[in-house]
Amino acid sequence: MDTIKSFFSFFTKITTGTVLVCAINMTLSGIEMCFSYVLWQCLLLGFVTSLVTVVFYPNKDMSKKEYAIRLIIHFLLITASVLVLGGFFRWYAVSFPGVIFMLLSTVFVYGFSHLMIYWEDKKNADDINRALEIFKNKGGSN
Amino acid sequence: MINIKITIQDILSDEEDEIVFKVRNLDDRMLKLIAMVKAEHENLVCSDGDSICMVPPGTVFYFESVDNKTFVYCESSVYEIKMKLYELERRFEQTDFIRISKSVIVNINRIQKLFPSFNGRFEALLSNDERLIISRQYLPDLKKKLGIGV
Repeated sequence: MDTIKSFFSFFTKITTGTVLVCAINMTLSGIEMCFSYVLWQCLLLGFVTSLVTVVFYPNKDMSKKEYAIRLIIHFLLITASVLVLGGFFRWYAVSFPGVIFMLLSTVFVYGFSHLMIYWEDKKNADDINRALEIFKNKGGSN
Repeated sequence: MINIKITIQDILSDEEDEIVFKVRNLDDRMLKLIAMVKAEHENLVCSDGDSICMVPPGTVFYFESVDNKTFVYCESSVYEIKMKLYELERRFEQTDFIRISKSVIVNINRIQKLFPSFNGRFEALLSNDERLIISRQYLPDLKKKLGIGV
């Protein structure tokens, strides 16, 4: 159940980030029309990268070193998924500038998703701190 | 549903606090209640180097397991205890102690504040300014203990 919840949480964040990158890119490129299949492609990319995230994103109890290794592996797998699917969807030209553009887009979505996770955690921590105050004022659970 | 009559009596200041359980039969629920009271008030037998000392559970900030040894951390002192972390977890199950990572059980009353950390975990700032890592997987238990819907 927790895995399914995590999956949908990641899916929402990643897809929002991907749509945001697409919107910025289309606006900057002067593209005025968006075909419906692009939205389905964004959803599919969100689905695949969320699956990778659920499996590889470090969320268990682990040392800092292990955490860093897992995070690097996760980022590499996400980048690979984006490059493969992006190439398949013809989102970029297979050239040096094209790949750099996709890498930058991936970094943007990665950072955006992390920021969303941090913001959610901050809200969670605030809720817990409030409950902690009430708990202590009541004199604990006993 | 078993009804329990609760009577609270005022006593003189020089008298000792006392809890008396009057029971018809010691069922599981009653035994759990007694165990909870005992866990809170029975001192922990710890060792401080060569000497043995008694530590009241209320003064404990957290328990930590390091290299198969279990340590009891108070405000500014550390003791070793012979019990395993899972035994402590069981003993303090119904009290204000809760496991927050694979190796730590913390006294909720000693947590000053919680912070999210960028590595996907949470940090607890204790009232003695020590910081402990809270694993994401133990967060639902903490929230449940504090009465927040998970």
